[in-house]
Amino acid sequence: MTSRFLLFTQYRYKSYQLGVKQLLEHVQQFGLIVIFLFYTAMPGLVMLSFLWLGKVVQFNGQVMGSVFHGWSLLVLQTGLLLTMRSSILGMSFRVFQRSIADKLTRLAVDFFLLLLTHAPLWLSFILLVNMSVVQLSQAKHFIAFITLQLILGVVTLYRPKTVVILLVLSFAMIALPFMVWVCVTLILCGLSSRLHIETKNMNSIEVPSLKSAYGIWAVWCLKHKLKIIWRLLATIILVLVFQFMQVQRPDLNEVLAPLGTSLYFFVWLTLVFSSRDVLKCNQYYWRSIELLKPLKRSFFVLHALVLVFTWFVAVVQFAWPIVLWFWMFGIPVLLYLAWGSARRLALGWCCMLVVSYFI
Amino acid sequence: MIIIRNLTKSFGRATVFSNFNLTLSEAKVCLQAPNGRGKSTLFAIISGLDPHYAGEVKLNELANNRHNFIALASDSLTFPDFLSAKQVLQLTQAKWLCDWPFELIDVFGFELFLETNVAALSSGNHKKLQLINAMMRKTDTLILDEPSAALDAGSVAALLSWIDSYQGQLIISSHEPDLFLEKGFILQSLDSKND
Repeated sequence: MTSRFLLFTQYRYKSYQLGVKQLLEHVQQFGLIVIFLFYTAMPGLVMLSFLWLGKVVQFNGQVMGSVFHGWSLLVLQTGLLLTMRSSILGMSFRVFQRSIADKLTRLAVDFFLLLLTHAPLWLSFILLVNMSVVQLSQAKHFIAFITLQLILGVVTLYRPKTVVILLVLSFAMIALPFMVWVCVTLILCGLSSRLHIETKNMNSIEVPSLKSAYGIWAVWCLKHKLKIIWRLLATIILVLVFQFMQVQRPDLNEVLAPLGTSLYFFVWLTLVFSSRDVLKCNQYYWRSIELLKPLKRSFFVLHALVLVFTWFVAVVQFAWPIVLWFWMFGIPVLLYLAWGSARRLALGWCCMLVVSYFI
Repeated sequence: MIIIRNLTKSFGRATVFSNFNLTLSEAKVCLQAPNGRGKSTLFAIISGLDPHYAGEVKLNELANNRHNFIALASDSLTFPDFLSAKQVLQLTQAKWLCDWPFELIDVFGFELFLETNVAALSSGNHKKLQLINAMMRKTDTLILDEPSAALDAGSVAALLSWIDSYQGQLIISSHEPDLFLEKGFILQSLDSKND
C-alpha cells in the first residue's frame, strides 16, 4: 500500500515537474531578463514581500488598510495558483490518475503539490515562525490569514470560479462604504428568489451574435471570463499599489510612471498568448470560412484598444509624463512581438522599459 | 480533376514533399500511404487551406481560391474549442449560404450533441462534426480524411449510404479501404508515378 502511494506520488511529482518546466519555457527568457535587470535588487524584492506581509500583521488601528493588503496578497496567490493549477493537478491525466489511485491518495498528493507550489504560504509561515509569543498574541488575525491562504489555495485547485467570485465580492465589501453594501445586500436578498429560479436559464442565455469577428471574440471572452477577471483584479491592485507609492514618494513620479505603465501593459499583453491560439490552432477552419483575416484584424484592434485604455489609466494616474507617449507608440510593436512569441515580447518589453528611463 | 506539380512542402527542416507530382482524376479515389507520410498535409494544400507551399496545385485548371470549391473533413481542420458544435455549423452555413443540415444531423445521430462544446465532444462525435461540416456545403469536390475512423457502425453505414448519393469528386484516405472499395473507390498510392 505504502509503495503504491510512493509510486503514485513519484509519478505525480514527475508530471508536476514536467508541467512546471513547460510553463517556465514560456517565461524563461522573460524571467532571465528580469533577473538580469534587477538582480541586485532581488534580496530587496524578497524583503519587500516580507514587508508587505508585515502590513497584514500590523493592525495599528488601520483595519481597512491591513485587510486590503491581505486581500491583495490573496489575489496574487490566486493568480499564481491558477497558473500552476494544471501542473499541480496533472489536469490532462486526471482520468488516468483515477484509474490507478483511490480518492484519498489523490487528494493527499494534490495537497502535497499545492504546499510545494504555495510560495506565499511559505513566506507567511517563515514570518509566523519568527514571531515571538507576545507578537503572536497581538496578531491573532495573522494566523487566520494563513489559514485563509491555505483554504483558498485548496479551493483554487478544485473550484477556481468560486475563489474569483469570493475575491470580487470581498473587494466590494472592502471598497464600498458600509451602508451602500447593506443596501446592495438587501436588494440582492430581495431578488434572491428570482435569481434562484433563473439560475438554470443562465446557461441558455443567448450568446453574442457570431455574424462578425467581434462577435466571435465576445463568445471567446464569455468562455474565458476568468482570464479577463484576474487581469482586471491584478490591474486594480497594481494601480492601487502605485497610487500608494505616489502618495509616499511624490518625487519619484517620473521613475514610477514607466514602471507602472510597463506592468499594466504586461498584465494585458499576456492575454495575447491565450487568445492568439484561437487563430493559430484553428487557422484551417477560419480560412475555410474566410474569417481568418477579419479575426486577425479584430484580434489586433481589440488588444490595441485594451492597451490604449490601460495607457489612458496610466497617463491620468501619473499626470501625463511625456515618456508615456513612447509606450503609446510602442503598442503596435509590443502586440506584434507578443503575437510572435513570449520570448520576443519579453525582450521587447524589457528593452522598452530600459529605453524609457533614458528619455 | 486535381493536378499537383512540383509540390514542395516543409515544416521547419522536415521536408514532407519535395518536387511531388500527383494527378487525381477518378471520381472516387482512396489515397493510400503509411502514417506520417503527409496525407493530411496534402489534403489541406489541395483544399486551399494551407497556402504555405511551393509548386502548382490545380482544381480543374483553377489554381486560386480552391477552398470555395473543395470542402475538407480532416483532423487537421480543428474547430475552436470555445464554440458549440451548433455554432461551428452555423458559421459554415452563414458563410456558404447552405441549408441547415437536418438530414445529416439526423442520420449521424448528432442532434443531442449540437449544444455541446467542441472541447467536450468525443472523438467519434468530433469526426461526425467534421463530416457534417464538410458535407453540408455540397461542393463538387469533397475530401474526407479517414472518414470512418472512430465512427460507430450505424454512422459508417450512414456515411456509405451518403457516398452512394454523392455526385461530385470524392477523395478519401483510409487505412481500412475495403468498405469504400465496395462503393467504387479506386485505390491510389500517394507515391504512385501516375502522371
